[in-house]
Amino acid sequence: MKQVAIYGKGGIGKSTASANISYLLSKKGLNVVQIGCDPKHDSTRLLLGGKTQVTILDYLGSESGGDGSEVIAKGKNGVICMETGGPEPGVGCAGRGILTAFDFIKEKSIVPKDTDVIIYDVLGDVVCGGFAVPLRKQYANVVFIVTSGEFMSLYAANNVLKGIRNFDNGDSRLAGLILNSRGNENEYEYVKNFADAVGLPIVAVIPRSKLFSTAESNGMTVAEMFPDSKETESYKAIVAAIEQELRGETRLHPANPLNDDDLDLVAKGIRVRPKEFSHNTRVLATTERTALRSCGIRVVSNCCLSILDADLVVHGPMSCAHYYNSAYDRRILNEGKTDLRSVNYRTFPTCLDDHASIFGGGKMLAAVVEKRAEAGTKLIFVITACVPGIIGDDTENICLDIEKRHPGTRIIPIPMDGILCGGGIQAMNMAIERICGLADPDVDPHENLVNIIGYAESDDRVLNASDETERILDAAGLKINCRFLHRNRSEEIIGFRKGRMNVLFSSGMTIKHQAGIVKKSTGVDFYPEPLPRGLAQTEGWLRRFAEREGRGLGPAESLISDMRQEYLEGMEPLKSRFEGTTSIIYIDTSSDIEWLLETLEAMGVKTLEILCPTNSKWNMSDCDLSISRDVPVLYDKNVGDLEAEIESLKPTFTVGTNYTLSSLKTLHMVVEPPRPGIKGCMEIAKRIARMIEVNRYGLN
Amino acid sequence: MGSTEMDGFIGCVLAAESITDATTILHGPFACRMFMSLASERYIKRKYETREGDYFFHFSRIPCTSTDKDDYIYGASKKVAMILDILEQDETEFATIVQSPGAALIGDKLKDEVLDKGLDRKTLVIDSSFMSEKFSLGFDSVLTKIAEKLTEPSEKKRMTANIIGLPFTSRGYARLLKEIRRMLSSMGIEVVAAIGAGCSLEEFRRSSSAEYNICIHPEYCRMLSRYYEDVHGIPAITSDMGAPIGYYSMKAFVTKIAERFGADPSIALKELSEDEEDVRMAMESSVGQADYLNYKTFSIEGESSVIYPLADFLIRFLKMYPKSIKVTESDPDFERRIEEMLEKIGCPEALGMEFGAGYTNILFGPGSFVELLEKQGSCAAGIDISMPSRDQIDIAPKSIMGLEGLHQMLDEILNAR
Repeated sequence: MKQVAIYGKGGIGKSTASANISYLLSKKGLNVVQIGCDPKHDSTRLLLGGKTQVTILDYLGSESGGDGSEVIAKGKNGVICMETGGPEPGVGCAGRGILTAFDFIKEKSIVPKDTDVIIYDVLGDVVCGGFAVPLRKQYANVVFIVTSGEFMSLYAANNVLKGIRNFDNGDSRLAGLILNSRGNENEYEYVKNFADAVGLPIVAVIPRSKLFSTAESNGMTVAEMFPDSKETESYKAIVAAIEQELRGETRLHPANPLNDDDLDLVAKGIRVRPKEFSHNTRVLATTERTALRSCGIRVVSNCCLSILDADLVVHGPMSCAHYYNSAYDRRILNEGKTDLRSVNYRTFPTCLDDHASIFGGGKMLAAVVEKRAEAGTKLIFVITACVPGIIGDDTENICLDIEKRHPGTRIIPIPMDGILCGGGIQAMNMAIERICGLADPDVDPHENLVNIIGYAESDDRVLNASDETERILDAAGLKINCRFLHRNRSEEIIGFRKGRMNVLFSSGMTIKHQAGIVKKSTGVDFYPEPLPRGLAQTEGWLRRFAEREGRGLGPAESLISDMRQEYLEGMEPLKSRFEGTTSIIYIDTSSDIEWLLETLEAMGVKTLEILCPTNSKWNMSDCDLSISRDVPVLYDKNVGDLEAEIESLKPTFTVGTNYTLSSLKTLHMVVEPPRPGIKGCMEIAKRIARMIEVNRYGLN
Repeated sequence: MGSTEMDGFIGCVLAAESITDATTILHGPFACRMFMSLASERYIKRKYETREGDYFFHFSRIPCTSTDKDDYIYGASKKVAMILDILEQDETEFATIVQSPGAALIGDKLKDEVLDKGLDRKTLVIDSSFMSEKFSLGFDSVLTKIAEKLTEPSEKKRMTANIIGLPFTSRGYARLLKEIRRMLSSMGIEVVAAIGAGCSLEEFRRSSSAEYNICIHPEYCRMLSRYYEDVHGIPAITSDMGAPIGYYSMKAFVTKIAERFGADPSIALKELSEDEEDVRMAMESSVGQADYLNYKTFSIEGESSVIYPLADFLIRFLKMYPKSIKVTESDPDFERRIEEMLEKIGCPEALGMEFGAGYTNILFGPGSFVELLEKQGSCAAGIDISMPSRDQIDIAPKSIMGLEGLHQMLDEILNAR
């Protein structure tokens, strides 16, 4: 059996050519199947007396429960006709439709076993992987490209050649060009120039003729209605080429497309010699540095669900919603926040399926959002996964329409489209901007109120209890207006501007990004220093804050004194036990490390080296590590490098915040950054001390 | 109410991951991989070691193409080819290539990459992502395709069986399997492969020599059991009571297997009867305490083959009453029996009632959800029978199936207040 694909620009006459070829092949006694691969599904019409047939995608969408034979129609001379069909223009993904239809044909084995030739009539250009399916090696053995003497037609033909080239790597599957004449001046020479340049023969020249429209208006092919015409004769060259191929006699050609400059010369009628095509090979993102390793769904779900009276609609497959669902309830259990509503009552996936990916998921989205609005939810976030982004669902307008019908309900779309907007940080930025849109611009700031940006609770309850944020702010004469995106009610976001400035919870790059967006969206500026960790930072923070405010230390004076005393009493006993021990630190470049260096120093531990793993470009944090102490820092070091350094320097232990540390076989501790103040650092010091003691005990 | 169910995409990837010494390649975003990679590392017993470098990025399982926007536009089948190169160097024996919902949309020519490398014999490409389909559909479809690829006709070995329809996502499956193997062994039956629950390639290949397939949950193995029956002539045994939960269903399970094999079930049945007697005695002697739950309510969210025997046991053995029943994965026979049971006991409305709404004495469902409801005082005990679970490290038996599981479950139920 031979499988023949007929490609070419839309409207160039592929379907007419395909139907005539199928008809003539069948007249030779061959068993022929013609499969139209175009959403407008008119490829087989002339073989069916002008009638249309049930398309494969219509059949799959109807859930009729048949055996699949419904998609087969028997045409003239017994040609078996099928149409893949596809979505309406402007919605869904026609390429996915072709993929699904081909899977169906294969799965159901509906091509008869005694078929001699399958003709694939494929839409226009090779526009995406879906339309290139017939080019896959398990399908077309022979490819014809239909063209005319118009530039756009040759451009499309050249694109088809590029597509074939991507599949074949120099193999030969091309039979040649079919020139479907438009009657332009010097048309043959023009196309011949292109054919010579790409090294292909013109297999047939189909004349421009009224006989085609006459036959078509009678629901027939020219070959059937005017069998002895020169028009029919012109197709016989193609039929002969296919017959030769069936006998194994033809010479097929490799795809050798032109580059844009050469195609331009051809368009001007200038001769171009055939030459090896080279295209810019895209550098694939596969490394620690370049590969994208986060998705906005998780981060943005987290942002949206932190507004406790909001519902979240996840427009995408169920799995995208599940990733978050599976973690959310567990997290609130781990944190002991069991008064919060389960994510099951707050997250509503649209459950996009294959059908929606072909025909569009807008209706499914509208149904779910509408239902939430009808249920009385006053704030609904809608986030989008990759699939609606790829198929182009109009999420924003769907939400807007529903919002108009439900006065008093805010529907906030965050169309980050899974990974299409980038990684977690890029998606988070979009979410923050939209959430900040809730803030009332007419609210006036209060003198002593601040917002905390990036506050996050830990499931480590001891560390949580060590948080001294309020102790520090109290000493500075400040109160918290809003812990932004930490279990807020929507009123807190609306009243966000009551805070006269934003204070960053920590120095992480993610939080800095958040703060920038919050400032841009709400107009509330942020204090340049994040909340401090460790003794030196806390003391410095309080002094500099008082200076900036142009007032004396006041209550901060006694806090500093108390903290010094507590720190000394807590750390001094450790020093005597761990003097002389050494460490290597493994930490991301964007992290604050001063607290850790101070803690280790206070314990009497010498830090030999600091290693930083390769920074992903998606983290947007290409800064060097900021440290005030004289410790060597090595960048771009992954766990293998770290192991080598440990082997060479033999530190007592390795410590850091990067999770990959846990794969080390030597003594190590992955620590969570402490909460603001000194108590968190002292707790971490105790844990490091326990690690060393347990290890000493174990070794003895 | 929203949904916490895993879908067919997750089922598809985890099915491929259920083979201990094969590899699954995910063509899709890294974030899609994370959940599955962690689940596989956690639940399938393998030597654990993280792996650095491209495509693995510090995890041991499911090398992934980490697709980005450019890949969606320009295609990225070459990344799959590069992963295949790595696996070739590692002498990987078998790989399944799966695609995320987004990647499946763009239609990369993955089969061509496999063919180009001459790896068709030991590589399976799954075309569909099964997005938003039932978990069972993805799980069953992929295992069937793997079976088609791996198994060849083979001479049948008497008194041998495969265990099918027990996905490794079923909580406590590993301990349960041990118990089932021990029980079958007492009848002289040897297990060849536990397909879907952590079998090796070698076991999978030998599975066509089994005399029968023993099916735990028919929902997860409809296509697989049909394949073995049609192609290898291996019939499936499914207990009329469903999964082996509670004494009645366990006895039915043992009896049916023994009948079909022509084996002697007396040792297994004796153990069950003695145990039942012990438990009844313990309950009767704790005057008043065990009666506490009599005529109180239970709700179940789970597979139909779990709900039917569990509800039957709770009603007949513990005198409890159903409040809400939610079928997540359905087998038509068991779903019909559940309807008949609810009709018979006078609460057909339980089938449509929202799971977790109002107070119920005992809730059986997704671990995190029922535990949260327990903490919130919506039930006296929430028993974890499905994902998303608390993701705890299980040392003690945690399945509700089998005798060990029954003890565990009874402890929780009888002591719930």
